[in-house]
Amino acid sequence: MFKQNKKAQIFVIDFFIALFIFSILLITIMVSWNNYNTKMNEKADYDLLVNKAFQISNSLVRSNGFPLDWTESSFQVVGLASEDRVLSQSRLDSFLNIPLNETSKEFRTYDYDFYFVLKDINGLKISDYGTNITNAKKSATIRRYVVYNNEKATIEFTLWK
Amino acid sequence: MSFTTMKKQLLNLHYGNKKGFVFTLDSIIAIIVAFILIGASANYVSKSENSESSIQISRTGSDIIAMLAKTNSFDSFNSASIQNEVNEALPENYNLRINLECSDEDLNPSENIILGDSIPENKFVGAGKRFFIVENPSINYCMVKYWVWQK
Repeated sequence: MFKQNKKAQIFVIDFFIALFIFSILLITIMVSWNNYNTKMNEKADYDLLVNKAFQISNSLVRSNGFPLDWTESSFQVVGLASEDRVLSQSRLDSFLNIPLNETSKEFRTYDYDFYFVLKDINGLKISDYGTNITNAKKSATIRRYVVYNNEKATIEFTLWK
Repeated sequence: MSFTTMKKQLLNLHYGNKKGFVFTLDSIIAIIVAFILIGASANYVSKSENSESSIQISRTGSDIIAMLAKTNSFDSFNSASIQNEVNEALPENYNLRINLECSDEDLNPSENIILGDSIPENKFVGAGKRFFIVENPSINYCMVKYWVWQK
């Protein structure tokens, strides 16, 4: 009777050690899975945001817009270029006069805000448009190199919320 | 044979140890397999993160070369002057190598300028080429090949 009890104890200790190892492994796998899942979701969201910002910036710096002689009251597609990566001053002026809610609708930014800034090559601001970034939870900024008034310049387009 | 004796034989110490050893080896193999899977996932996640920045590197190179061509920065055919223009435009954390090749109107080679550091082998390098015409003083048909990477 005494011996039987001892063997039962060995079995129980063995079981608890196995259970302990299994629990540690299970917790590690669950935590890792959760971490990677969160990381991948965040990355997918960020990639989507970057792609969206890139598409908008690309259409701004490489497209003439539609119709070709579009103004703030007649635009269907906004594009600031007179030729590939060369910005037209008149198109930029028209763009700056479009009400913000209309450009948001045109860019399909949905629940994101956007901020557009044109700078010279030394980083001095020439003009800006949109809602400046304040306490952004998520943001993606795309910088494009362009020519404006025959000078080197950059535009930065930020999508944020 | 009594019940107690039978049980004693079944729970033979030698036999029990062997079983325990097999069980431990099995669990170690399982743990190794599990950690290999976790490691592979981590590797995949970090590699995916790199692909997006690679696109941005290539895009930056393409934009800068287009901007330099549009502002006639290559027209001087002067290495120092072109290098200055590149330095002015290029972000500090980027490196750019340029090979400018031009031909005259009869398609004879007229210029060949190489600028920038040698191309690294251990990191992502974005590359491309652009064609344009330079009038200095006569017409030159030029092609600039570029390689761009992060420092």
